[in-house]
Amino acid sequence: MKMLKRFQRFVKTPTGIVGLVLIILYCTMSLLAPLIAPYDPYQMHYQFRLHPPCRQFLLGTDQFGRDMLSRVLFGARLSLILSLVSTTIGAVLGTLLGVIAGYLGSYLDAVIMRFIDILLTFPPILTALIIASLRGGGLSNVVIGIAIAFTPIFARMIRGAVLIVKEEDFVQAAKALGASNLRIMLHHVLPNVASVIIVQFSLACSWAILLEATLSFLGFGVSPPTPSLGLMISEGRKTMEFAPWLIIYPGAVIMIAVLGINIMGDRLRDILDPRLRGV
Amino acid sequence: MYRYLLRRLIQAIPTLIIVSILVFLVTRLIPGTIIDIIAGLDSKILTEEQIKALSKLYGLDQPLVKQYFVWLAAIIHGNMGYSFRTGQAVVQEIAARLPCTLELTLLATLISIVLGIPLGLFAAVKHNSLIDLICTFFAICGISIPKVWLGVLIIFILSRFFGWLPPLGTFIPFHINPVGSLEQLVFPALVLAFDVAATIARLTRSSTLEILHQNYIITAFSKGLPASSIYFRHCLKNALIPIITALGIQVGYMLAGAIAVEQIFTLPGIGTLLLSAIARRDYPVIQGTILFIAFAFILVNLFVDVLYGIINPKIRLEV
Repeated sequence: MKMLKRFQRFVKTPTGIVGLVLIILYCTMSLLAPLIAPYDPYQMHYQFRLHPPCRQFLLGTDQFGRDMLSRVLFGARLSLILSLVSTTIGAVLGTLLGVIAGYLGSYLDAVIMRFIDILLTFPPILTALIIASLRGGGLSNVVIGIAIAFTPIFARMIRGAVLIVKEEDFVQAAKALGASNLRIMLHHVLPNVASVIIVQFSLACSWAILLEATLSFLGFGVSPPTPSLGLMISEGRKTMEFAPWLIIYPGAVIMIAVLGINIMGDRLRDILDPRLRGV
Repeated sequence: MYRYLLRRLIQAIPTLIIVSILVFLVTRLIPGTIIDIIAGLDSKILTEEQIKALSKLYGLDQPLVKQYFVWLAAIIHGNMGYSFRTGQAVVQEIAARLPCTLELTLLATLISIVLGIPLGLFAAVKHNSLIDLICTFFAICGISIPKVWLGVLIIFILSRFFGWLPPLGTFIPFHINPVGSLEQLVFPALVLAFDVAATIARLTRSSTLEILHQNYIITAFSKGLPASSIYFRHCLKNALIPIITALGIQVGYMLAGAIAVEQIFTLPGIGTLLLSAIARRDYPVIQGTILFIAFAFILVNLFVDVLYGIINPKIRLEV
């Protein structure tokens, strides 16, 4: 019941609706890509190379005659999966470090946070770029790069929240009753910082989509012929003078995804964290 | 103030040391040694003796810890090694590329301030008006638009509809040809500044809104002070504190964001230097540029902290 009420409040504002529509659009595209894509994204129709959008190819074809609609759909799918996986790894690692540092405190806190602060001196794009490229690029290395770049961001955010929760009466009460540290961390601290994790997770997903697009664009991410949105923009550059559809649609899909996630993340933050309302 | 400054400087030292260790290790964790990379496929035909000689030349026969200290000592003396590809000193390569990145970042910072702060301020003053809606829309779109897409779109629009492209390739310094330099950098800077301007506009709006409800603003209005003086002197000055913090972080990120922007507009900056070095596995250049970007990032943060102490006396006293 409470969840339903929250959801209603979430959808009631016009921006909330726009965000939700964009997210649903993006998720449907990604999840149903194998079903709704008219062609195989790798299939080359040589006689229709660089064909402008028409009935047969709704978004046109690229320099190899591959159907852009199918490629964009599969690209959306790839970016969704990739951002979810890498953000999840980053969130789990970061939460682990953040809760341990925040709750156990003392030397452990000092050591972990010092290290986190230092990792934060590398901007995420630089960390992800270096790790992904030096490990030789490709799907799994992009995921590792983004996950490592996100870990300190999560750790810092969650440690801050844990420090506040730790002082609450119910945690002190649990301690007085003799609950173990592990139990308190899992049953009392973690559920109470969940809202921070959720908000951060949603925002980080949008960064991950942008990071993957940038890395693939620069040539250090997913390798061709895999349909990656960033890679498509990069490849489309050569022929954009007379085939602008090659760069417009992949970018538009990234924008739909990121815009939807950002709007929803904002609304989520408003609902889950009343203190931050209006910030 | 000096004590505050000194303390911040001392705090930055351990960070710098650990950053240098990480950067040093980055290239040692790669499979194979420097010799394999330099010699390429020829490394198999090298004799035992030749490998030994090369190891000695590059100091690879020493223990890792010693290698690190030798490397660090050289860097402190301003020697970051030599590029595998061009044979030039890494310091020189960076110095040659620095003006471009520096001018790009400065221009982008300027654009984001000039665009972001007034927009946020107007939006807050005319709360719930059309301009407020535009500001909110811009703020959310600005952080959602992929930089690489925006850059490519701008190039496409300029060339297709205006038949013009910003001068690509060689960098035109501002002090030699101001007009040409701006022509070259204004669009890349706009791309780089877009999300920062959006963030700044959003922050200005929210912190101004908060301050407009404070008692001293109401007092100022009831005293009959002119509105412009209230908005700029009472309001903006107090709203600036969170804005400057955010701007500091964002300017630091711009140095890294410039990597993609320089690549799109083919500008010879630090970013394109790093990218070409990665593509060619030119490790001394990779190490040098990463170290340089991290160093610049720490420096910007230090500068922001100092600025913060000047603006907000409360922080100075706490230390």
